[in-house]
Amino acid sequence: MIRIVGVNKKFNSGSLDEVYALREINLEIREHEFVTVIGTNGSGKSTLLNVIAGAIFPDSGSIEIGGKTMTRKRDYQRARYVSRVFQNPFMGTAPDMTIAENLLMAWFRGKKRYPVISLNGKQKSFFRDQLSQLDMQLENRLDTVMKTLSGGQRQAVTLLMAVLKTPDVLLLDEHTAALDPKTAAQVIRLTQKFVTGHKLTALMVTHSMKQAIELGTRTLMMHHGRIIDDICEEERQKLTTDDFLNKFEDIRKQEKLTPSLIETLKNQYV
Amino acid sequence: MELWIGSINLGFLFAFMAIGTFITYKLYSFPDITIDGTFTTGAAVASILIVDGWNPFLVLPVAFLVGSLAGFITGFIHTRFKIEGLLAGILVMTGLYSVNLHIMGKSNIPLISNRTVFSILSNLNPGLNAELWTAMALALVMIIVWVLISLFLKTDFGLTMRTTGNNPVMIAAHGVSVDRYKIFGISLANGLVGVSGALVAQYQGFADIGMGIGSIIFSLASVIIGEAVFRSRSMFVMVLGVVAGSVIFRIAVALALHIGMNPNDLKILTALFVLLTIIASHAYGKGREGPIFNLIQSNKKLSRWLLFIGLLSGALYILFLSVAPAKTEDEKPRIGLLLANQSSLMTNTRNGFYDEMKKLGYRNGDNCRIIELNAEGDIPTNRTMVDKLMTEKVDILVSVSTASTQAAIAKVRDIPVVFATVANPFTIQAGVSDSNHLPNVTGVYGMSPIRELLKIYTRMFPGKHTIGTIYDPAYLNTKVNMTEFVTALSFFPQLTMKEVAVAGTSEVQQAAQSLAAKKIDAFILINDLTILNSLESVVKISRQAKIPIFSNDAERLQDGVLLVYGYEYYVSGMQAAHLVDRILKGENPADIPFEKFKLITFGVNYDVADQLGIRFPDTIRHVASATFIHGKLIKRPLVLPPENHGNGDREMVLSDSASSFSKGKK
Repeated sequence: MIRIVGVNKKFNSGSLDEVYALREINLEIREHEFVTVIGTNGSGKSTLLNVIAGAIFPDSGSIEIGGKTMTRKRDYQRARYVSRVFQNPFMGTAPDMTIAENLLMAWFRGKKRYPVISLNGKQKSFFRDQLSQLDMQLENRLDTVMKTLSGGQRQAVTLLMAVLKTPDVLLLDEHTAALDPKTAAQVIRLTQKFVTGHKLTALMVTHSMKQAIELGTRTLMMHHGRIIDDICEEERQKLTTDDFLNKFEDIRKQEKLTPSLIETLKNQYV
Repeated sequence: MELWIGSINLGFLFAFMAIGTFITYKLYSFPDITIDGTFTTGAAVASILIVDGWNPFLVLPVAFLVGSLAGFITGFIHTRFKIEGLLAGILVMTGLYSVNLHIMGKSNIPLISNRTVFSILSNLNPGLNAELWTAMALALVMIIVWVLISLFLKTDFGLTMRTTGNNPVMIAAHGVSVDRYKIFGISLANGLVGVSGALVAQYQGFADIGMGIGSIIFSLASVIIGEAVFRSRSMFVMVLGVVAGSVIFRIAVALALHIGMNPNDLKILTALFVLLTIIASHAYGKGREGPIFNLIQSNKKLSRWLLFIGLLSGALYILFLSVAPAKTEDEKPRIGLLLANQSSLMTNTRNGFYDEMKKLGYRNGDNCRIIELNAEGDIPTNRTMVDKLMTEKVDILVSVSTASTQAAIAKVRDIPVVFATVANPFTIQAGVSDSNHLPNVTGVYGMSPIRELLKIYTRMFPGKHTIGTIYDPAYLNTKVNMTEFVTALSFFPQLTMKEVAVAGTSEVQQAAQSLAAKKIDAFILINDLTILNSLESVVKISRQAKIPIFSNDAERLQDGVLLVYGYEYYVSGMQAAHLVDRILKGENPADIPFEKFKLITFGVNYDVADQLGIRFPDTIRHVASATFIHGKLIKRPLVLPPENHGNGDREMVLSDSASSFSKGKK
């Protein structure tokens, strides 16, 4: 479903703050795979998602989604195939619009919008049915303005919007990181329900080792812009969160460069 | 009554603009300054097409298209080159100034004798008050516009537009090109502003290059008032609020002018109002801290009540004013005097008028009442002032300047209008000749005597010469004056002219410098207000490069000009007083021909001549009516020649005695 070949991405190229966000990424994700991605801070997880979504263009390499080359397509041009949920619960919905209006915008994902009024009773009752899946009593608040909802409710609605028109690829970027544990668990349950229910191809970035192992069918580990480990389903079942932690610790030791040492070198040579 | 219904009508016409600002400011969260230019563009396109014979209704969609093209450009550079919306708007607005001037070809296009939407409308009037009839028709139009715009914003397309402004990241993730929708929205907004300009031009009877200045602030004020009065999330209520806000704003302006506020102060008051409301609305929003915000937060209810009480008392006051019987305390004639601004042109005319009225036996407050109003340089205000004078039930209206006269004759049909200090009443369609003119209009006019000035110059300096002139094409009478200049030049083949156009006073010094560099022999200045307002810049260069200045403005002799030949506007006021006297004594203005200035001032400045090493012949003392010598101005008293003496012509005297000037050291 997704094929990424030789993708590189540098930020602040040529300046002192040059950062290699992605280095020679080669990745193939098959249909109906649910991939979790973990990694250290600045390892390139979010950049990988952004490159797939089209929010960022790679410096080199190519990206294919559903057999079509997408490398130079802008985010809104890929929206027909790809849908996204952001980490920030305020980013996924329009705060001054009602729940129904937000859902309508999602219903038209990747389609042309005409000057006709589609938000009629029939459409609303369809949205009501969809909202009842969230178990948050939102189905009777269709005309409520989005900004009056809690962060968890908004993230749940964002998730629903992302799958309302079944996407080829669902991208989740630490979408529970800003929520309290109880709501986070609720949103994770919904995620699982939607992904398996719609048989979606999904990519989920997470900070939680537990989520990374428990959810999905495959796990990628990233570090310094590289995919350093690709763990398939059978392998994952044997793993514990401690194994992950140890793995990251090993990498640090291999590099033999502590952050303080890097700082000293920088001061001497730059 | 007139004043209030007139402001409701203006409110309706400006509502198109306010809806445009509603789209950019409320939906896309940036105030689009382009509209300051687009408003004029709409007016310019409409006027030029109407003069060309187009149907006045048909020009509205054209104004819409041209307006939206301007908006498209703003949207395009904003989205494509990632230039902030505000800056993009400023860029396009600045550029539009030139475009507008090109479209119009001159700074002002009158539409008084053309068929406009409103003249067609008044032909259908079943006999109601004219403004009331217009208001009813416009109300119907506004209802249609209101429903259409509200419905449009509720469609899938309109909803997407709104979401684009509300959360661009989210809507892009749902497959919408934010840039395209933004460009569309800004284009739509500016299209509406273009229509607004086209309608206002037709309503006030002319298009003017400066009519759009400040639109964005007035428009923002309307949107903000509407939002405060109609608090709702429903599109229908919100758009209705914008229309109502526009009407309320115009009524508030009329009220402020009615109680005698200076129109110039109106701008800072509006700016302050917009600022305060924005601070207040931020305070309503969550997460704002600080003493001001806390104060407003805690007084939320109170401030809403205050607003409500303010509006209510304003409405009651207006009701009182319109119901209260007009002051008809006595039989004294009531004379309305309307000035366009505070320039010396206006005040000298005014002084001449007052002094001569006194001589004719009229004592203000005693046996007549003069009600004086000043539009303070704001062109649309002239119309409001005319409305106000009508509400004051004046018996006769004296309009000083072209702009005031234009507003007066566009509106007033049933009382006499006497104009003064107008260069050319025919370009504003007050008449077709001195004796064939609008039946209720007469007055005093005069083109600057440029040909005579050139004649004096060639007498003084025989032989081949290069002369230079500076002009601002945006100033009202400049096009006429320059055409006259070029025609006059054809009589003097020995003169070559170098001309420089400027945009505003700040460019005048550079222009003078560039002319000096081209080795001109003299500056010949026409009566262009921009140049006269920055005469000091030309004088500076004149002293440095030893180039004399000849001017048509008789009142600037002492300011470093070598020689002046022209009219004193004081005389214009004097003559207007005589015309008023004749009309009050029972003459019909239709039978009084337009008058030219009856006195001409010929002034020479000996101090400047000394500085430049020029010697005047002794005979000139006898011809000159004003001399400036050793820092003192000596003038002959201004006395009008007896009636029917013809238009003062000193040229005969002049041609003999001014023939022996010499240049060189004394």
